[in-house]
Formats: sequence, structure tokens, C-alpha cells
Amino acid sequence: MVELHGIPVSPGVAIGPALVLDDEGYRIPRCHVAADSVDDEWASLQSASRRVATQLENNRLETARKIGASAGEIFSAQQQMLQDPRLRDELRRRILAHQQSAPYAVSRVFHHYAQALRGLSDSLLAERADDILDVERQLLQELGAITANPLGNLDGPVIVLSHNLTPSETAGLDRRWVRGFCTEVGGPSGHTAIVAKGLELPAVVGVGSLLDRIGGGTEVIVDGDRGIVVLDPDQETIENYRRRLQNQASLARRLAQLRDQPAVTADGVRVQLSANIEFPHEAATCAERGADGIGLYRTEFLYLGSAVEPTEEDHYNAYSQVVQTIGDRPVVIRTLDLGADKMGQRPLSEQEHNPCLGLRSIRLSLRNQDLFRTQLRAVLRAAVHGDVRLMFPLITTLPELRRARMLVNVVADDLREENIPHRADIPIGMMVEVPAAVLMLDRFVREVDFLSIGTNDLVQYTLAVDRSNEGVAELYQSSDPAVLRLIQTTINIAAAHDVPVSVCGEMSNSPARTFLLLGLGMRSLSVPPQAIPNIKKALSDVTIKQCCEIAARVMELESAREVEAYLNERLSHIAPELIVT
Amino acid sequence: MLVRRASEFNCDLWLEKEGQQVDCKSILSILTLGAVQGTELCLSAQGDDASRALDAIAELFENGFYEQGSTGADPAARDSAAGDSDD
Repeated sequence: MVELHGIPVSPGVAIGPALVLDDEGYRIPRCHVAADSVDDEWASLQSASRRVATQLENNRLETARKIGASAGEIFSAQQQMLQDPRLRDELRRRILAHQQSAPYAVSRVFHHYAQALRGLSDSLLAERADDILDVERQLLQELGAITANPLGNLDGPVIVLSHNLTPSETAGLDRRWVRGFCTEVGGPSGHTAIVAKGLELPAVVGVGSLLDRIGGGTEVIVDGDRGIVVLDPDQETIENYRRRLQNQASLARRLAQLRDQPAVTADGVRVQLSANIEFPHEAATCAERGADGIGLYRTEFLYLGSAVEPTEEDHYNAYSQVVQTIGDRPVVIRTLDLGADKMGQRPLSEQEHNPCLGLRSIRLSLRNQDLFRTQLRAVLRAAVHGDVRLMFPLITTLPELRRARMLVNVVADDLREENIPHRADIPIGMMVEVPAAVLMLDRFVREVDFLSIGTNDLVQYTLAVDRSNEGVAELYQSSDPAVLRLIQTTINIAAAHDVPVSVCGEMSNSPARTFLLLGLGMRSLSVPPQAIPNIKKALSDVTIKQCCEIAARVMELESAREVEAYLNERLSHIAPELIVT
Repeated sequence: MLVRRASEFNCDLWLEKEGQQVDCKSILSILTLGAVQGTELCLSAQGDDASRALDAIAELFENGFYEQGSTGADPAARDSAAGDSDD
């Protein structure tokens, strides 16, 4: 049994067999064979190699016939790679002398060559690495070590372990069988983490080197509440976790009874409790869990989830579905927040040295106006179905906000001229997630209808921490006093100008921090749908007076650690039931 | 093409770039040498048919591998095929 610690990014516990993916996205069967079967292993590799050679020859003839002899040459180069005498010697040595399994030896040797090629400065040569890995993949398939798409044809529950998962890979995980996942890299607020929450999959990221220690099929526990991954757990550990799963299920049943009650504090103050979503189908979950609306509808996943760029109709259909599901409650649609760690189909920006400070989010939208106008048109059109509000992300300067607002007017004029049903008078707001916006907020409030604090980016830009860099992830603390002061300032300025403000970052997601936010004057929160019952319960246990005392004390503290310790201590007094054990 | 031709001979054939020597019959080794057009290469051979092999490979280089668009010996791609045959 091995216990590893990482960053918990999506709550819950999952127990099941491991599905190990390597960098290229398939299984690495790392294992050795018995001394008396090395000859068989070598023979099986040779026969697999002959089958691949035949396939390559067929491919070559086929391609040469269809496109011409020179195109067929790609495959003859691959044939030579397959029959390379040095490669053969190395494979033979690993299998016969080191008793490595054929698939493992193949995977190591081919990757070694591919890496050497990738390291070359000549890009033409570096691209040959893909040819090498292509031969490797075919060999591994012939050896029966991989299937064409390991995630595509699952037939039983698995826990996915990999170096990294991109947001679109995470979104594509088969919910019927994938019970949880764990990655070697990644930070607490990367978008992979957000998608995992959206899919309600227990997940731990940033556990460090992991894939070397485990083979496929090993039993694994992912503890997304505490950030623990247990490889090959003993019976006692499994029993403990099974018991916890049962306790959580019974708490969830009790919390579900709060569904139809409004979110109010113990002293009867009504709090607006909305949900953050990424996929239209989540709107139904939000309605079930008694959300007061959608406080943040992230629209990037329209781009990341499909192979082609979404059309205006794709946007319109997705937004309409959400608006109609949620009824007369408000839906805040945030415009594209692509860039940095999220990218769509087209290369919207060049390779950037510092993508978090680069061309992303509203900056990218203003630069790619065809893309932006398509989205704005769809939002104004969907607005005829309900209470739709529009929100711009990452606003840093007043001219940015004005340009974005002007585009909305232009698009509305177009729609009117084209006689297309739409609403031009929807509320327009901005995310507060750059310190510059807080410093200029007394000006911004004159030009927006509402504000929403995005704590994830606000933390990143205030503390100068790359949230996806596990080397500095420790510094990334949403309860850092500097961040809290910016939030306090924002709430005060919004109140003075009578502009509605809410918090939609991951911060509002923990009951203890919710108390703090209420104490700072916040009355509107937007949280992941699965956190709604928890937060509702926490609110019902606390009075505004208690929250104000908590906030007053916290604002005197000097580090995130002290703030966290104090908040957890208060939570254990006020709502002990919600502490995860 | 280079590897295919080299493989026709029994002798050991070596290609050298800046002191790094690789087997001329291994396409992967040659690729990882990172030799682009214009790179200075040195060819050497050891074995019973070494001199014939050197002549054959040198001819390949001089004729630009008979690739389309290549007009005979590209001076920049010329090998220093004055390799030492040790036979």
C-alpha cells in the first residue's frame, strides 16, 4: 500500500482499478517476465513486428496507388525504422538480458529515439518523432498491450491515472465507467479541476511522479476531499473508505431535503445562492438542487468539447436550453474566457512566453471580433427566452469595457435590421479578477449593471502565482489577506454605488469561507452545483452577527495559513456536521 | 535510401558528425544525428567489401540521392567521403 498526497480539486471518494495512461494517452504495461519465458517474449515481439511490417507494406502500396509513389515513401521509412538493426539489438538486450516485457521494452526504446529527435533544432527531423511513435503504437497494438483508444471502449469501472489531462480530455471521459482521476501535474484551479467538478468526478492533481509506481488494474482509492491517493490499499483502508462513502451518501440525502427551501441564514437573512456551470445539461442539476439561478455560465466548453468551431446556432441552442431549463431565474452568461490554459480549435494566439499575462479572455475576443460577434448575437437572441445577463471576463481597463459594450450595441443594431428576435436591453456586467479593476472600481461601477468577483484569477494576479504551476501552487491561497482586502474594497465600492455584486470563484465553495464573505457584506454567491446543499446547510447554521465577528477577526490576520486555521476552527463550532472526516 | 544502400554491404559502415559516430545501417541512429543539408559528414568502413561500399555511398551523396529537384552534387551537401578504409 502506498499513500500519495496531492491537491484535492473535486470532492468525493472513488475506489476502483487503475487505468494508467502515458503521455501519448495509452497504457504503459510496465512489467517484467520470468527468466524462462524471455525467449517466448522475444519470439512474440518478432512475430508482432512481422505483422506490422506487412501492414506497413500494405499501407505503402495502397498510398502509392492512391496518391503516388513519393507519398508511399513515408511507410517505407517506417519499415526501415521497424527493421533498424540498432533498435533490434536494444530490444533484444532489454528482453533477453533484463527480462523486460516486450511492450515495456518497445515503449521505452521507441520513446528514447522519439525524444532524441524532438530535441533536435531542425523541425523537419523533429517531426519524424511522430513517425517513430506511430510505429510504436502499431507494435503495441499487435502485442495486445494497448487498444486503439483506451478510454473509448471501457467495459467496467476505472480510475484514470495520467501525467496530465487536458480540459477536453477530461470533458470526454466516459461518465458511465470513469469513477475518478488523478494526475501527476496540475494545480488547484486549473480548468481541468473545474471540469472535474462539473462532471462530479472525485479528482486529485499534482501528486508528483506516480505512473512509474503502478501497473494497470491495481486497486486505487482517490480521495478528492483530502487530496490523497492510495495505491494498492489494504483491506482495512478499503473498509474505512467504504464507511465514509456511506456516511457521505446519508448526509447528501439529508441535505437534499433542503432543496426547496430558500438559502437563508439562521437569523433570516436571504442569500442569493446560484450555480456555476459549464455544460447545458448541468442546468437541470441546478434546478434540482434549488439554485437561485446560474451565476456563471462558462461558455468555453462549446469550443473545447467539439472538433469544429461552434456556429451562432450552436451557441444559441446551448444558451436557450439553459435559459429554458432554469425558468424565470437569472442566467449570467460569461463571454469567451479562452486562452492561457484553455485553447479552442484554431490557434487564436501565437505561442506566448507568459500566456496568463497574454492574449486571453476578453482581450482575445476583442482581437477576434468575428468570433466575439457570433457569441454576442447568440446571447442577445437567447435572451428572449428568459432573464439573461451578459458578463465580460478579465476586464482590466475602462476602454476595454467600453469597446466590448459598443460591440454589443453594434450586434443589437444588426439583429434589429435583420428582423431577428432578440433583446438589446439585457443587464451587462463584468468580472472583477484583476487588481487594476479593483483600483479603478469607482469608475467601472458607473458603466456596468453588476459585478462578479472571480476569485481564481484575482488570486493569481494579486499574488503573482501561476495557478497551474505545482512548484508555486502553495502560494496560491484564496484566503490570503491581500486578496481579502481587494474583495472587501470591491464589496464596499459596489455597496456605495448600489451596484449588485456577487462572488463566483471557487472560493465561495467552502462553508467556512462563505461565512467570511457574508461577514464582509456579500449577499450573493455562485458555487458549483454539487456544493449548493452544503452551503445552504451552512447558511442555515450561522447568523450575520457571527459572520461579522468572523470577518472582523480575519481582517486582522496576516497570513493565509492563519486565516484558514481560524475559519476551520469556527466552522467546527458552527456547523460540525459539514467537516469532512 | 542511404540505409538501404548501406545494408547491401557486409562491412560495418559508420557516419560521423562532429565526433559523434553512428551506424550507417540504422535509420534511427542517422536521424538522431540531426544532420541537415550542409552538414559536414565523415564516412568510414571496416570489412571485406569496405572500399566498394565507400564508393557506392559517396556516389549517392554526389548525386544528391537522385532526389527530384536535386541537380547532382550540391556543394553544400557534399560529404567528405575520403573515409579511411581499413581493409
